[in-house]
Amino acid sequence: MKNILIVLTVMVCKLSLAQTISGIVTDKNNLGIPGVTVQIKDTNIGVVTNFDGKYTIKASSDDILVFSFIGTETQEIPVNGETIINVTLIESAEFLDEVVIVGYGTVKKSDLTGSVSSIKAEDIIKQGAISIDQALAGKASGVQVTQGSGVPGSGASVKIRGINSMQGSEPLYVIDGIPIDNTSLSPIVAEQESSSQISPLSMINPSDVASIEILKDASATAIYGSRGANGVVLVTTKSGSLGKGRINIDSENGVMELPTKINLLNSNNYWVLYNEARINAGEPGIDPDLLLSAQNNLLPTYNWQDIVFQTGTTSNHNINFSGGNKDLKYLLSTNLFDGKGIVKQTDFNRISSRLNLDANINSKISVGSRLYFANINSNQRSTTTNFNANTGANSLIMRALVTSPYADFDSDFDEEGVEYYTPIEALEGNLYENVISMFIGNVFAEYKISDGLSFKSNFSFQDRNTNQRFYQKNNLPQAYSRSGWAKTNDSRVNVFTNTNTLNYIKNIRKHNFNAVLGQSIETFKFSSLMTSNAGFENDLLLFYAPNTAEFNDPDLLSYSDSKLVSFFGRVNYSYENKWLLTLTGRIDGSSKFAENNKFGFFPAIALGYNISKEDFFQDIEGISNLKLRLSYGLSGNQSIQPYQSLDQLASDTQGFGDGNGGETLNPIFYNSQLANKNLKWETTTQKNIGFDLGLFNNSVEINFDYYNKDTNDLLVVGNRIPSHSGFTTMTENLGLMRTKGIDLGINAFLISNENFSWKMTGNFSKSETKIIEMGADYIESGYNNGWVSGGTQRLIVGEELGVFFGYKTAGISQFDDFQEFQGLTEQEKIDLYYSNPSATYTYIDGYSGGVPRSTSHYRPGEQLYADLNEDGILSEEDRGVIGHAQPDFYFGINNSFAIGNLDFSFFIDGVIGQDIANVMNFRLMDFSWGQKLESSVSRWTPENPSSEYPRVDAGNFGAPAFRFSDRFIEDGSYIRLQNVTLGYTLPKSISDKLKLDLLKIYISGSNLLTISDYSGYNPDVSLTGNNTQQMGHDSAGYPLARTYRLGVTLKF
Amino acid sequence: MNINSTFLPKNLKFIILILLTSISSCEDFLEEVPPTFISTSNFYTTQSDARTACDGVYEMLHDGGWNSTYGRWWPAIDLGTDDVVSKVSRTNFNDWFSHTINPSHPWFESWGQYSNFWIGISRANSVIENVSQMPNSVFETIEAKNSIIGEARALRALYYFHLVRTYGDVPLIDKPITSKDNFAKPRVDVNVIYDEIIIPDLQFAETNCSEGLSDGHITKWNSKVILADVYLTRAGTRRTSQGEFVQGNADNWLLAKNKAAEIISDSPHQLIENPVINGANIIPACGVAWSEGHPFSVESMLELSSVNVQLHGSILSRECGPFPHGVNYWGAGSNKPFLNIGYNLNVIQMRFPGNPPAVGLYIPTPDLYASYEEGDERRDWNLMTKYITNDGSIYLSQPTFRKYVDIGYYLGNENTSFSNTNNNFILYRYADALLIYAEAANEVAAATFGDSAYDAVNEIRNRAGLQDLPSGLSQDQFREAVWNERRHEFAGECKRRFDLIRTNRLATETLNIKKTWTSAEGSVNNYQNVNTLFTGNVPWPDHEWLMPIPQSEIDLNAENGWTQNNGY
Repeated sequence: MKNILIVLTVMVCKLSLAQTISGIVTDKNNLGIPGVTVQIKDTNIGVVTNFDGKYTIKASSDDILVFSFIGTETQEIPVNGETIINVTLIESAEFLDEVVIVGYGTVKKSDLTGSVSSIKAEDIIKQGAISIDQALAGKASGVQVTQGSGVPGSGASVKIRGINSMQGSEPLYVIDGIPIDNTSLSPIVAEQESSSQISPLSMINPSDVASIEILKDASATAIYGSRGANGVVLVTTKSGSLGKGRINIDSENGVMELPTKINLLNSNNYWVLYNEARINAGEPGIDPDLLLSAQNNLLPTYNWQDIVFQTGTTSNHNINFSGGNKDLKYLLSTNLFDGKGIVKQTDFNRISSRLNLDANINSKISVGSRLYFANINSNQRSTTTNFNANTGANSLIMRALVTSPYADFDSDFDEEGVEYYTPIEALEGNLYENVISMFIGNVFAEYKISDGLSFKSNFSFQDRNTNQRFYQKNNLPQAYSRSGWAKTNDSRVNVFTNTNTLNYIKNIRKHNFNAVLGQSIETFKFSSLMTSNAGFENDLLLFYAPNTAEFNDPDLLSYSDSKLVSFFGRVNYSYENKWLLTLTGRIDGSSKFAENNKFGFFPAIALGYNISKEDFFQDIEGISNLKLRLSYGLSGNQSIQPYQSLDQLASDTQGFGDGNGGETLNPIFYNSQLANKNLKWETTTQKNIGFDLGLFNNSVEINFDYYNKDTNDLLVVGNRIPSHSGFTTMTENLGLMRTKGIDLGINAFLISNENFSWKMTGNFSKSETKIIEMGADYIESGYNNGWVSGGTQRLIVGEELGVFFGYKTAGISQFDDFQEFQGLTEQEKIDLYYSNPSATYTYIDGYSGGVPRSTSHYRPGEQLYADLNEDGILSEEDRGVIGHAQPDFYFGINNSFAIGNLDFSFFIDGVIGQDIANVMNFRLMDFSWGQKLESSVSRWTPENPSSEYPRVDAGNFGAPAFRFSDRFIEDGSYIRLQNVTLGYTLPKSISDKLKLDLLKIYISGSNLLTISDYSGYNPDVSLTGNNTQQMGHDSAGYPLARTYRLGVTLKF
Repeated sequence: MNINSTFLPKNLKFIILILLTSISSCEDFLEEVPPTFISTSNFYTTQSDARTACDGVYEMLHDGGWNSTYGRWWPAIDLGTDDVVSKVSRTNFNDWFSHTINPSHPWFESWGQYSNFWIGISRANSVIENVSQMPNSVFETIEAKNSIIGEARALRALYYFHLVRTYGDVPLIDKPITSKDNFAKPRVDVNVIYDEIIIPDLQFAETNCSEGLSDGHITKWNSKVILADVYLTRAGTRRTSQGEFVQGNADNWLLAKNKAAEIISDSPHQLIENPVINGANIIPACGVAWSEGHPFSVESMLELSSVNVQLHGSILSRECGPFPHGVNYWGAGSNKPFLNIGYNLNVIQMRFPGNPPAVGLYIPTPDLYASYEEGDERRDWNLMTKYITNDGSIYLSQPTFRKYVDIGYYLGNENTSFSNTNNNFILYRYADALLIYAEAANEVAAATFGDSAYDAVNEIRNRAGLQDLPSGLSQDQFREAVWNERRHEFAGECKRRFDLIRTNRLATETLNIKKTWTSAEGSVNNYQNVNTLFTGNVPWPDHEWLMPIPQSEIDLNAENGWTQNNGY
């Protein structure tokens, strides 16, 4: 500061007739703003306000002072002989002058040619999300967030502009310039149980985030080359700012509850229907006394959902210290998050600390670092529903659904419904403990080579240590005779990145250049150690006493590494700020691909035309800005495991005799993978055309984009090859997938004055991904537990990705369809039917309706299916497309109001036109066993011949339930009130007395109301998270909670 | 836009130079050198490498997982015959009983009961080719090298033998396939596979593999018994992939007889003659080779080891154990079915003490039970209907193939678990040699009382507590007697379907199957413990002599001219 003053003094001395002018620059709350530039118009002379917002400058009487500060409207004030000029800067309504962070640099929003969405800090934390990916939901156009599981800490599936790849379509996350590994923890799998997957993103404290930019089109993503195809999420954390030291405290507490329960039968209906189901199957009815009790509504009902769910709590505390002077800026933050989930005994605890530093060594060299450490403790129970659990049978939530309503909470076993164990035992029996610690940090140095040219080097390191523990108690039948089972999985991920960039900025008259040229090296290492021990004397020591186990399975140690070498560059050129050109290119070399295919080149070009800067445009009323954008480019995807191109031998052991009457395990080696010498990148070619429109002095801004993406050389892991090759699958580049869509974003300051303001932001997105070419006409996908032939979905050439494939229901067979019932009175029909409910009949001549599942179901009341190939019987050929997991469109609308000291906002998002396969209904509809949906009471009976629900049948295992048909497909469209927040900021007069800069209290509710026809817990579902080949399956996963939070923010 | 070099400062050129020079070293940097696995090119250098690779060929027979050949699903090969049934219609195998088997069934597709053989053959091909190319000097002896090659060849033959009997014509692959360019292969006639692979491979193995008893590895003797079985099979009837009925070449009878005779006269194998008495549990002599604690017995010729370690055990205890629903089980229709006959147990307790889940996929039929002669020890061994726990309690169980079951697991013993039982599966026993000999000898020349064919059958019968066969049987009667002996001796050993095919009895023997268990057979009341689709009134269709090629394989090989087996 001193130096500047000396320089200024010298400069000022040169001026004659100058007078000294001083004053204070404040914001609307009358607080001094430090760092405001005060400049004499049309000169290089200027000063910066001090910590208190005060400035002193020498200027002549006819000068004009220009006051400018980021985020505020620039003011020009003529001196006019005044010696004291105080200014209040008002916040700018102009979004366009924001600086937008793009890969390896920044660009003014008005100069942007690519398609980039920005999300600000306040929008990220408002929802109270544990993790930043969840916070993206509904916030930006073209970004679809699916929170498949309510497990605290589990990741959300984020898709940017539809689906690019069959290998997951998750974007690349870059935090403060560091691409981070976002692979969810591999679950501990123990027979049909498996742990929930915790996402590394849940380790990042959302309160540390200053902004998130989402790079969408090729012009924006090509700079990330081989990893840009799925879009890039750039996360920038807060840094210290010039001015006095600040302390910022956010503290909040909340409660969480299960928003909705699934309607199930009560005990009385349960037994009445089971009795009927057994008789219908030709089996003896239930105990007559029990039936009589049920018919007279005498039986107690237990709802197991009440037992496994609880009211959860959250507690989130942040404190950060920030400040700085012109040579050193700092931000120190710490976070404590403690939450108890809505499923009993599940929790999530995070402690994190951050230190962000920026320092100027001298006028040429500046250095800085972003250092972050986080530790997570999370206890989980068996709530997962991934494909390891047959129809989620061993998930305690599924158990709570299928367990008989008549079974007592204390019962260990009830033949008629509990099947081996109760939900309570499932809850108590499987313990998953996760302890994850992560360090992520970088150190960077920047050297100003000359005016406009600088060199920056950045070293970053990510280290994640995961300790997963599992213990299955002896109370579970699976553990029987295993006597307790302990498994551990300790893994470590190391990512090291070195990035070197040259930045060059040059303005020559009307030509403006902004260029970056760089190179980076990244190494990724993964190792893990798994142990499994069983047979313990008791459950007291859990996994801590492996040495006392009777069975010691071999420990498994695994390791992999991969490397990425890159060269990249970008030139932004603008002419008169009117014509904009961006050229981007990156060369990536990845170790994951075959010898001759290591390197890929990803170029992009974008053009922008600020048409509103043309003279002819100045006269158009209301339109303050109009920019047309056009881009074309390539980006890639390399998201496969390492070593897929190599011929591999794997090792294992195999039992043989030991020669002494016993057995031993011999080591074996065997070919485990066929080499693919042609393995290479997936390449996405994206075309984008769009415009940015500013209306009414840019108080309304509209962004629109249309895009078309072709993903070529699709990486298909596990593509089927002829078995006689000795392998059944191979990782190959196959086919072409095409996504078309539009993104529409609106930001509007509808009303903006001192006492009342109303800001609305909204977005609307539509995208559709189709398979254009593939190695085969179709590939089975979706969910296949062995009962669904092939799978619930298929990848079909010419169809959307994520179509459900199965039988089409065609009503219920009725009396009139059968010869034997012709010409009978209603009563005679009923009597004939009851004479033998499991008899079969003969269809009338010329019957043309649907067919039941087999010839032994030719009787009234059976579910009928469309006979697509018209051969008179139901066969595999009668299956077709019965639903689409991709939505038609999705949207988000946020309204914020400020009324004096009150602020209020509500946020709505929605997904329209998506279908869901309700996998849990496989179990909740068929009457072979267990609890059923309440809607079963509407079944077909002779007296009430339903045309919607078939008759109940205890022998119906396999049908209708396991004929995968559109009965299991539901419309998953929803509109949700995601968040409502009401805040009150104490008037300045009071906070001043308390010596506080700010005191705000707020109450916030999330996931408050969902309007949907979907019958499951919540319509954001996915069986296996981000697997694009299993979209839209609900298997009664951990439901999303409704949350209410009360918080306070203090600044001083 | 003219950015010339003077436009840029000198330092920049220097930095660009650094960037460019770093490119040249990238290629090495990006090379993948994975530490956790090896590839073919750097393997096969020592005898130990050859041995571990050869041992890897065995894995597809039984890998302890669910989908290897003798892991979980292969016993379905006999479903629908007169020996093996599945739980009441709630099963994955409905199609087996209604005879509507389709090529998309998971048995062929996701459970790998076609692909497993090819994985095994591929591993064998890799061993045969690579070990052959290794210098003799790295082996202790040339015999050691040839023995390894012999094992791999015998296993290749065994996998092919399974393939041709199950699926008919298959491609002939005797070299490792290393790239996609070699995928295109036509299906070739079964006879070509026998003549060019199976028989030469086994002949090589019987010459080059080791003497002595088997510890799970291929020996000279188990090569011979497989070869004898091959000859026996080729002597019998079959249907081709095109649906033609083929009567085998009778020359094979003599080959089968002679091969079996070599084993009987020269091998160290023999029948176990003494029972094992373990408190209340008595394992008759006929069951000892299968029982826990007697792995790789003198009787066992080719045995697959299951070790009580995760991923190395047998899951068949679970698969064939009783399905835990009371209805239709061994007469249990209500909660307390046994009060009236003195069993103070309910249905639940009737299962195992700890209620472990079992699924009842492969269970014996009443027909099999009733076919045993009075006094045949093998009946109650093969078909367990009750068991006695360590405290002396008697538990009824749904009839279960005892040889699949780890009884310790039923009894709740320590060190047992449902997915990793210690139960070995035996593919060939000395009994195979005896019965192949008897059957083949009787075809070469009608057996006469007191000759070696009679002796072979009687050795088996006497061991089972039965008298000798009556004298004076006609050739037809003797043949029938051997067939019966095979059924009773090998119950549940995945041989029934193939026996019925080669003797052209598949349709007749499966037409009228006894479906009802009676109280005379130890059941509480008469009931039908059969898959409800298993009505017996759907005759075994000719095309189901062969299984269909999995649909995905037909699709993947459409360009190679593959067509589905006739009738599917």
